[in-house]
Amino acid sequence: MLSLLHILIPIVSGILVLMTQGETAKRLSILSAVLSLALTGYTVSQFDAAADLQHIIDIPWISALGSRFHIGIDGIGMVMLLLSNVVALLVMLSSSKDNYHSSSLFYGLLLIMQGAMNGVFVACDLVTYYIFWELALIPAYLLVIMWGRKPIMAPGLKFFIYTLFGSLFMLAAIIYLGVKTGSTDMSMLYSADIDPSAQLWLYIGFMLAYGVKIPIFPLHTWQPETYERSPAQVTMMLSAVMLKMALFSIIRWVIPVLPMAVAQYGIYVIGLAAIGVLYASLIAWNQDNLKKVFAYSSIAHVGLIAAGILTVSKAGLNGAMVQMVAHAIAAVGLFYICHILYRQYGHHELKGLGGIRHKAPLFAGFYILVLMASVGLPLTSGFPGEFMLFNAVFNAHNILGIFAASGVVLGAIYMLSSYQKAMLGPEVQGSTFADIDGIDKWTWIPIVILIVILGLFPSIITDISGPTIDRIMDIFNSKQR
Amino acid sequence: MNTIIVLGIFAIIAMYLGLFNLKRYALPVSLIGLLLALGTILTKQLGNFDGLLYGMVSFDNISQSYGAVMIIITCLIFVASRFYYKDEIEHLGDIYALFLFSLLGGIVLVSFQNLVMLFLGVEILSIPLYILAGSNRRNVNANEAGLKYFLLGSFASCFLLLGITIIYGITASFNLTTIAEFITANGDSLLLYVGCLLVLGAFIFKISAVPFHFWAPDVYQGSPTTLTSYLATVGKIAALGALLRFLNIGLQGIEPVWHHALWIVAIITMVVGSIITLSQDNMKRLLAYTGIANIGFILTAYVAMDAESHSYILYYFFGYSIATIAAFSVYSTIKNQTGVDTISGLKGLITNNRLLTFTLLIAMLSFAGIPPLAGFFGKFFIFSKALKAGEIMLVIVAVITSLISAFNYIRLMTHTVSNDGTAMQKINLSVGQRLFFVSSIIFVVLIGLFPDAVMGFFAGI
Repeated sequence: MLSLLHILIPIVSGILVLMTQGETAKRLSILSAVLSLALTGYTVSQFDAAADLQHIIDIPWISALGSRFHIGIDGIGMVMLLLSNVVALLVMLSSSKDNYHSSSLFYGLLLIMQGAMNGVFVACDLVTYYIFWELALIPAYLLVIMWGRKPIMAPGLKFFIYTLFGSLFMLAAIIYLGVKTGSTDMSMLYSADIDPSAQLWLYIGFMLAYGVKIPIFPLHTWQPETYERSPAQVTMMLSAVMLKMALFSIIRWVIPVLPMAVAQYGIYVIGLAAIGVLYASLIAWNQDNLKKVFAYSSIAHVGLIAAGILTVSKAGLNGAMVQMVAHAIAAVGLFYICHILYRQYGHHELKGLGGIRHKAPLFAGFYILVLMASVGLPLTSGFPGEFMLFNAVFNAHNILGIFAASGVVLGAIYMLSSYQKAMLGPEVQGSTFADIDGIDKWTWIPIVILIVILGLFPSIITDISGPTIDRIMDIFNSKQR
Repeated sequence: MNTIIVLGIFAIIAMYLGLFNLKRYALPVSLIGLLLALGTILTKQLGNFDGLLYGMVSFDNISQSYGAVMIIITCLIFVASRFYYKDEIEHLGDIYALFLFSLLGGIVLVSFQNLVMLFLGVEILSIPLYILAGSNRRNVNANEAGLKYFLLGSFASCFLLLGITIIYGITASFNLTTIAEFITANGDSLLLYVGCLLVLGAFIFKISAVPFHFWAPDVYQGSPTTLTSYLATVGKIAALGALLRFLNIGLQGIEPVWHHALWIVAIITMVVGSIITLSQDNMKRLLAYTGIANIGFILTAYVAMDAESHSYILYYFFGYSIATIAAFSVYSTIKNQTGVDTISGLKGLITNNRLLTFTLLIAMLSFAGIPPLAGFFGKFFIFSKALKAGEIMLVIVAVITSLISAFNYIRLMTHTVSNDGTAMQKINLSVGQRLFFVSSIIFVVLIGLFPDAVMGFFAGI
């Protein structure tokens, strides 16, 4: 029941919000996000890390493919639910000073998107999973198109078509799995032995969908423009939660179901991801738009996570879980910074910024902290996960490990130089900048706390997800021939 | 049989209502007739008329379930027509009577057991439609539509007759079962192929598959919208059900021939339907090509035919029809009040007309096959059937063309929600219209969420 509530609360309140107007919509959506987070907190307190799936709902659904409406929470799902609901609340709070047009639609769609993403994290049946996966795309697309900065048509269409393109191949793979094994249920698929020659094609089908969503080089071209033009809240949702759906899905579905293909061909995707890390970092260095710097840095960071996951090592998978949470927090922080700048200046071109530090010391302080977390300074949230991931990728392949490690060095360079251009130097003539106050300050405090706590105690995450990761690795190893 | 009798009686009553100046009762009376007809099917009060017609019609599960879907959809179209025909009350009784007669023909068509009944069914279905297509007689486009549909439809009927004649010439029977027995006993011949392909050609015309699809966009565009949505839904289901009987019962023995023919038709229909849609700006033409592309997907199920195919086809088409009717009624509501009938004219629809936009969005997303809407599981079942039958090539083409057609629907969606300053004026909706749109959204979602229940319901009739 708890797993179902995670889906129902946001979606039902999203539909309710659609019928309200103005400020009521905003308040109602914050209330709903608080409720979801409280529910997640309660679920965590009830959670038994050693046990397998919990809070299961399992009813027959589509007999033709042996599909069931099967949801439940395991260790990795629990971490993702926590991530998604914390981020959703931060996103709602970060918008409390904004007045978006048709605000009821804006918040309603955000909530429906949150519910669908929660659905992805609890789904234990591929058809159930696919439905939530696609359901999350529609509100995301509408949010990008309706509230993005013009010209938004072309990037919005590109975003949708790319994602749908990947999803359709995944759908074909799902149907094939259903037809061949007679069931799309997780427990059945985990124990099924799939023909090794078919595994490659299924692997390609799944990875096309995930490669677009994550995005992995060279399928990333939709991402920078979409991130840059979307309103900050949507960018936060996309980068902090939506792309994590794909990373999570690799752990949940690809590794245990197609183990031989992963063992054999995983290295190619690791290679692409590692190249992507270097490539995106170099491009980020040359951007003169702050939000695009962050967008490209996001490609670099998640590329590393994807590479770490596909090494299928204990360090890689645990590191990925920690880093997913860390990246989500950092992404919310970074895009929040862009948002505050945009609110006051109406743009985020680096050329038009400068000298803000004197005027807004608090803002500058938060900025530098998030930046440190993002480049992976020890004692911040970015460090432990990234460290484990490097370890994993380096063990898998030396050269690729060096490629991936370049991201950290370059990351420090471009992030610090963007800080320098935006915050230091001479002031822009005739501009004023008000420091953070009111509700913004209260939104920043949890972000800061999370960054510090995760940096000191990454075991909060691995304690929850560890046993599930071990089980998945056992399945992976036992199915190798 | 009772269904046909009920429909016939109520069609005549509707006609007389028009004669005695009681036109405003025509719609309620027709609806009562439809519900009674549906009741005869659901309660299985079909009457025992087998001996009377020498087994020329057979009321089995296919005929009953397809008949039920046709009646349900006609009900919806009639309810929607209440908003369309409001001002145009001239000949209202005749219009509903013609629809009912046409539906009667559709039911004969899906129940045929004898090729004579096939021809009769096609004609009873089509002749009222020829009249209705041109019923908007002061409009040039409507005249073109009526004439074009009539001329091309007559050609198709000629092919059908010729095909039936040739089949009779070889097998000496009109009865499907006898024909099937003849084929198994005596094998096939070239002339038999020709006969079957001619009949298939007529079917392809009726369901507007490529290469006989050219009438559809013009007729859709010119006809009154109520008729367009009827043509796009009921007209096609009837032909699809009849095709199923023809292939399954009559031509089981020469399966390879029609298998290959339909394989080719399915592929070119999917490709042409989805690609031509890219260049359409008129809403009705877009929906016409959408219909063509969807027929391509359905033909995939005919190629990969097995014992369960008929219920998947019905499910697919049921979901498609509801979405189509929703889209057409949104179109006609907008057209009535603003005169806009193009996609680019829909810019900024969402600003003042949220319900209309959502209805259109849901319909488009269902066409694009986004879960959990009706269109998704329709495609899902058909793809899985085709994969099971080993038709990999068909599935690949179907996936690619789905993506191309999805692009069309997303293009339309993008226009409606686009936000570049132009906002469409507020369109006034009556309470009835609001209810209709909300319930069509709910319908599309429910059909999508519970496919097993829907198919189980139809299988039980």
